[in-house]
Amino acid sequence: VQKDFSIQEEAGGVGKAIIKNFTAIVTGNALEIRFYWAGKGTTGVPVSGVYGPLISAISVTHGKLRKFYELNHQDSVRTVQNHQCSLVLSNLCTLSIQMTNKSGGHRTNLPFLFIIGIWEVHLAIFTRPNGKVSYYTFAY
Amino acid sequence: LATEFYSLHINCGGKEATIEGNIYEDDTDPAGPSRFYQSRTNWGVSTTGHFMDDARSSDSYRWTNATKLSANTSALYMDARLSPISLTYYGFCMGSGSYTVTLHFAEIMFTDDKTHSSLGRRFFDIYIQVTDQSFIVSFSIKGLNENTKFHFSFSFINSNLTTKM
Repeated sequence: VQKDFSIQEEAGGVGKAIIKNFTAIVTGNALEIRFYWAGKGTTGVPVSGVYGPLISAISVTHGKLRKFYELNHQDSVRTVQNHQCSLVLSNLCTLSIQMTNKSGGHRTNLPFLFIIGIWEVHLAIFTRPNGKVSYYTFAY
Repeated sequence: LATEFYSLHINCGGKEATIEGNIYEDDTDPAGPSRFYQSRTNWGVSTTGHFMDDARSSDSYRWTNATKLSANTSALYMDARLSPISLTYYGFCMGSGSYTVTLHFAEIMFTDDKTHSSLGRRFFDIYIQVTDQSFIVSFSIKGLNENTKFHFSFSFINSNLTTKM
């Protein structure tokens, strides 16, 4: 997300704090933050062997997850239609319900997870734990 | 089910510190040229590489500031984590969603006086979630076939993450 990062240049000198914020999306339970020496700059100041990435602290907080519907299974399709993502979500509902019916109507399966990219950064997740239907959006 | 975490606070290279109500966890593992350390909570850190031509007696993957810092929350900046080549922090068991990743930096190895120490320049690259973003969601439909598993694979385009900065 950032090449040739220099703490001095960003902070306007040494001994000064600089805070950088980034957005990351976690989908597989893992978050990775990597720093890699750019192969530039000095390597012998003030003594030999001073180079490479330096990080003072990391803070990660959950962002703009908005849960806007938690419905019963029966009326999920109708109720959700007023929402901005109604078309896509109801398609997903229909799809998942059909899959459930074909499988014998079991409602205790693991949650279904659907993710759809709308425009650039619009995600919708559909889960169904314990027969409940939940919708989430990530809006940026 | 394992616990899911929705936040992560690390005082890289330093001892545990509480800043603005958040506990920044201890990260004082000595690390090494090929070292992975896993915390007792939900993160780990990996360091790779030797500090070549190191004039210091032994490679140090931590550094403690010796001068005064002009920052209010200096507990975070007094110590830093170093690595010669790559330095990677992993968050585990994170709940799905969008996160704000806040990185705190302060250059504490160079000085701003008239000595040659002020001539130091440090450059490195920062990557967040850059490894293959594809993931697999697998589940089984019991009524159909106990052994049937559907694998949904979905890939993020890396540029998505960068354009949102």
